[in-house]
Amino acid sequence: MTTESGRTGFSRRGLITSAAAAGGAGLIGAAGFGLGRADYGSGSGSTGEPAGGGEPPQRDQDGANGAAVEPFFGARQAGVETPPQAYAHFLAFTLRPGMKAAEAIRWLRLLTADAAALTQGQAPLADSEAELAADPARLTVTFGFEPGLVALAGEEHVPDWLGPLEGFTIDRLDPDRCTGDLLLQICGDDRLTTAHACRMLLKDSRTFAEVAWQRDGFRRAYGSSEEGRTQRNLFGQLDGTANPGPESEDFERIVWGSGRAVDDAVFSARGEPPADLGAHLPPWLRGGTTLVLRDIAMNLDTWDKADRPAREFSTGRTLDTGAPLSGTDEFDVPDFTAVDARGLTKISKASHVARARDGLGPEVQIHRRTFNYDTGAGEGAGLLFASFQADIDRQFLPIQRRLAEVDLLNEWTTPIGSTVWAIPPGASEDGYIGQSLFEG
Amino acid sequence: MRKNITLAIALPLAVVLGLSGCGQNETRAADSEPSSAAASQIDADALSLDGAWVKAADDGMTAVFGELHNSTDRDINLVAVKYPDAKSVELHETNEDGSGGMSMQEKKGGFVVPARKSLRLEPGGEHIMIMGLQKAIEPGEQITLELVTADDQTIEATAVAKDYSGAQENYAPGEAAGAHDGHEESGHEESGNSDHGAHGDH
Repeated sequence: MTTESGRTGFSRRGLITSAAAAGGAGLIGAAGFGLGRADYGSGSGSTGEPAGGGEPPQRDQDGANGAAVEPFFGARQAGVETPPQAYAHFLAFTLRPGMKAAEAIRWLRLLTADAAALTQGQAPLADSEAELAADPARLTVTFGFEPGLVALAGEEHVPDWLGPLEGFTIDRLDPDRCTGDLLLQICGDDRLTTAHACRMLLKDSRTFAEVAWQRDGFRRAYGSSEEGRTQRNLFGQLDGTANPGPESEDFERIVWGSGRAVDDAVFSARGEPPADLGAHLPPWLRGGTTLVLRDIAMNLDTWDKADRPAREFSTGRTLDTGAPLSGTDEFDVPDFTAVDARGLTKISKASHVARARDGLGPEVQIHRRTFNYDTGAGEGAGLLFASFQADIDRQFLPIQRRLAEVDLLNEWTTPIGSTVWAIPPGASEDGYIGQSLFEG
Repeated sequence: MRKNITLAIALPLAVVLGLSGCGQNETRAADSEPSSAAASQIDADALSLDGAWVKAADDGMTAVFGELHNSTDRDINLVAVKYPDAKSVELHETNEDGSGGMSMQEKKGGFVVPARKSLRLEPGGEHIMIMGLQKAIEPGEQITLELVTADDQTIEATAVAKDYSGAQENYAPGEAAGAHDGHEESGHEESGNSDHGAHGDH
C-alpha cells in the first residue's frame, strides 16, 4: 500500500524531541507528558499507546506547555507552518475612513510590538493585565492584508487575486463575514492567553480600525491526543489528512512557493509540486503566502440523519481511522480505481476525497489549517477553513471549483463567509509586519 | 484619618530619597576614586528609559512611563524632563486618595535612580507628567524626550504612544492648572502635614 509520504516529514523538531523522550523513557517509564517544559512535541507518540501497559495516564502537573513559545521574528510569519494550536481567534478589522499610509505603519508597528512580546510570554507596553501575558502556550499572531490596507501603500501593490473569490453555487455568503482590511489569526494552546492577546491587540487597533467580524475556533486541547495527529471536525471526520508535513519540501513549495534546491527531497504520493508556485507573488510578498479563509457552516441536525455508511460514502473515507475506502490506514493513498465485489469503485466519484484530488496534478494542493467552531447548543456549528497556498489560482481554485460543482458533502455544509488574504513575510527585530509593502 | 497615615509613610520616604540624591554621591565618587571621575560625565548608556511609552492624547495632559535604569555605580538624580511640544513637564509621584483613587503631585527633588538599579514609572505610581500639550500625540507615534540630571547632563529617550484608558490622574477639566500650581507651592513641606490629603479631592 502506498503511503502519503509527505507526512513522513512531519516535524524534525518532533522527531528530535520524540527521540529525547524515548531516550528518557527508560528512566521515567511511561511518564509521557511533561518531560521538559519546552518539549511540547514530546508526547507519548514514540512510546506506543499513551495509556497502554496498564499504566494510568498521567496529567502534566508542571504547566509544561505554558512556557512553550513559537518564534515571532523571522523571514516568515508563524501560525502557518506552526503545528496548529488548540485555539484560534480570527479577528478582522476594517480601516477607519481616511486612513493614510503613515497611520497604517504606526498601527502595524504597534501590533507587531504587541505580538512580538505576547508570543514570547512578555507583557507588551501599556498592558494593564501584564500577568496574563505569562504562559504563552505557543501563542502566535499571524497578519493578513486585504486590498484596502495594501492600497494605502499604492494601488499598484494590490495583486489581481487579492479580493473576493468568484461566486460558487454552493455559497450562501453573509456579506458581514466577507469584509475586512486586516486579519489577525491569533492561535494558542491556552484560551486565556489568546483572550488576553486579543484584548491587547484590539486596544491598539481602536484608533485605526473597527472590528469587521471575528470567529473563535478550537481543536483538541493540548495533551488530549498525540502531537501531530489529524484533527477531527464536528462531523467526527478526520480533517487535514492530505496536508503537507511541516518542514517538508512539499510544504515549502505548496505554501511558500519556492523550492529549497535539495537533492534528496521526498514528495508525497501526489507527485512533485512545481517549485515556482510563488513566482507570481509581488516583491513585497516574497517570503509570504496567501490565505483563503472560508467560514463553512455545518448542519449537525441533517448530518444526524445520515448513518455511518452514508457518511463514509459521501467523504470517501472511513470515520474511525480516516482511511480511504480503498485502504486501511489514514495515510494510504486513495485508489480511485479500486472496485468492490460488485464492480463498483470503492470510492465514489462524487465523494469529497475523489472530487478534491482525483485527476488533479501535484500543483493542486493546499495546506488546510482548520479550526472548529460552535456558538452554543442547538445553534451554529462549522469549520473555519483556513487554506494556505502560494497561488490561489493554480492551487485553491481548481479544487474549490470542483467541490462546488459536485461533492456529496455539500449536502451538509454551507459556506457563509469567504475572505482572501495576503500573508506578508515575517518581521525583523527592528521592523514590523508589512514593512516590505510600505517601505519596500 | 487614613489619608494622614498614608502620607506619613509616603512623604518621609520621598525625603530620604531626595537627600541621597546625586550631588553628594558625585562628590564622593570624585574624591575617592579618581579613575571614576570621568563617570561624572554621564554617557548615553548611564541612564536609560527602557520600555518607554506615553499615553496618546490630543491635548491637555499626558504621562510617560517606563523603566529608568541606572547602569553606573552611583545614584543618578533625574531632576527634569524636556519635551518641546508641551508647555511643561514635571516628575510626579502619586498617593492614594483614600477612596481607591490616586492623586498626584510633583516629586520634590525629582527621581533618584539608585546605582545599578531601576526605577519603574507606571500608571498609579511615579511618572513623567507632560502638561499643556501643544500638539497631539497619536497612537503609535514615537516622541523624543530629554532627561536632565541633577548635574545637568541630558540624555535622549524615546517613547511610543499607546492608546490607554487608565492613568486618568484625577484632574477635573478646568481645575487642573490652578489646583496643580497650588501644589507646587505648598505641597512639599517636609513635615508632610495633612493638607496633602486634600489632593484626593481633585
